[in-house]
Amino acid sequence: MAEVPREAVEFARRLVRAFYPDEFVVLMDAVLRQNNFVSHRDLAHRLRMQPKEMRQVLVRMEHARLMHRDKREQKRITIRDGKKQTRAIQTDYWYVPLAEMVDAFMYRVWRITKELDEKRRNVAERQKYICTRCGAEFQLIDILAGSRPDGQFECTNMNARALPCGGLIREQDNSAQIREMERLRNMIEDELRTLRERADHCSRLEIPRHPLEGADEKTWGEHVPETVGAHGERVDEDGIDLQLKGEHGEGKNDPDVMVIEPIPRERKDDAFIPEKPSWFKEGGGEEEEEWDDTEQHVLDNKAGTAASFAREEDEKAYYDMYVQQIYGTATPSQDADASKTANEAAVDLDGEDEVVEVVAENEKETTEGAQAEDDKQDAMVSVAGKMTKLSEVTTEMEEQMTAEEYAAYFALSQPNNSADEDDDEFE
Amino acid sequence: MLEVEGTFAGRFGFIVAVLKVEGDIPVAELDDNTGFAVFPLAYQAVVFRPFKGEVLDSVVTKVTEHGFFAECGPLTVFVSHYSIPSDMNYKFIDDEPTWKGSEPEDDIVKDVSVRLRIIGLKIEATEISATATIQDPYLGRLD
Repeated sequence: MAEVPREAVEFARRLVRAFYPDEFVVLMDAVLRQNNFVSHRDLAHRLRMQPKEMRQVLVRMEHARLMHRDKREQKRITIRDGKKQTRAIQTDYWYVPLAEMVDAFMYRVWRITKELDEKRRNVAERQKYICTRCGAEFQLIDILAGSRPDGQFECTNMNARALPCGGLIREQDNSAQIREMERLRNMIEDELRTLRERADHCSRLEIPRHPLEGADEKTWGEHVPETVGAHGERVDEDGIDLQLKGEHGEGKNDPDVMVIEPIPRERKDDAFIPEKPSWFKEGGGEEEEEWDDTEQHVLDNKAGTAASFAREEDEKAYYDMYVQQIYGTATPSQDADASKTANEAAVDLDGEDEVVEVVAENEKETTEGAQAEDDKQDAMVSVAGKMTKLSEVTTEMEEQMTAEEYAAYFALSQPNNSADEDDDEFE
Repeated sequence: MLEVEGTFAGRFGFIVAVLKVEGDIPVAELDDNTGFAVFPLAYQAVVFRPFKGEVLDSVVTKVTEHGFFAECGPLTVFVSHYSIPSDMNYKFIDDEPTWKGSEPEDDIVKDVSVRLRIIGLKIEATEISATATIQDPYLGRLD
């Protein structure tokens, strides 16, 4: 970190004690003690103050140009459940702008002395004159028209009869104001002499503009530029008011106005998305129908209507297709609808081509086991003591089966690559 | 030319001297009240117009306890005692009102030359009033 001259630190401590309230003094001393760069949380912990309460005072100091806020983004690596996660954490740091304080103090003192001199001169030059008769007030320039040969001035104010007043004009006593101006001027000269000498000495020293000059960004984090200035105006990274720079195109064609376009931030890569299944549609999920408040739509949505039945059929066909893909066999409901083709069953699904492809893939996959499947379908199962073909078993027959009969039936209805093949793998 | 020279022409200031008449003399218009013929003329002239902050050389015409009057040609300027350096005081010397300074060559009496700076101006239709100061450096009595 940059080395700060001790004289500058001492000047800042004296300055804040001379002109600002005690809470400013406490906070400034605390920040300066921490190498002039401390995080908001650390500062609140050291001073045993509530962070919110402390921030109110720090913002007031920021408005008075006694404190600056620096937002830093640091990468923090955490290990959770054995996985390494990197998080970006923003932290507020506070520091005292010592170089700016010296300049600001010298400018303010110069400005105050200049204003006092102007006031002193204006009080003398704008001497007021008052009429002893009518009480009208005049400036010097206004009484010249009523000058008399003896050097006195008479009032030229018109009365109700449209006649000049004619009263003698005397000047208003403003010696008290002039004395007050001179007293203030002398007070500034005497009482600020020490501070002015110290400021003059500090102005010749090399004070770093930022306490982190030369510091490692990995340690302290990346600077996050503020987009809002101290008084609510929109600013760029250097704190310059964007409106002055022609943010909205003012001065675009003016060669004297420099318009700087902001550099776009690099976006982080999107998170890795695993390979999508074949039935996943591109562009998001199913498109939701726009809600229609018409009576027909409301009727359609109620259960028991023809439209709701059709929707249930669609869902059922979709489920059958899903199971077939997973297990490679037809579900009982598919057997019940065996007369329907695969395309007709999936007529309400989006992406009809995909469904065809899925079916085609299934057919390709099951070519080898097709014959075995046929053999299986011809197997006989017992239903309430009667032997029936496996392919002819319906849901009602399943209910009539005993527990043993159902277990045998269930074992036969499993896919080909079930028990035997698994055993082969483990052998 | 004799009519306008030495008069105050409003925003142009005082007309000091007419140089030449521009263009041909137009047709006259009769003034119903006086019966005179009036010729509207355009002319070039040397004018004198004071400005605020301008430094002028003047001649003191009257000294009073409130300050002194000085003339810069056709312009009359008043310098208030607040615009006179604080080390000068109003006194009667040889029955003559004087603003006496620290040295004899700084005394301001009637008919002396004074360099002053105009600090206030009031321009009206027919006249112009001005106030000045001699407090700044290089101002005050000249000879």
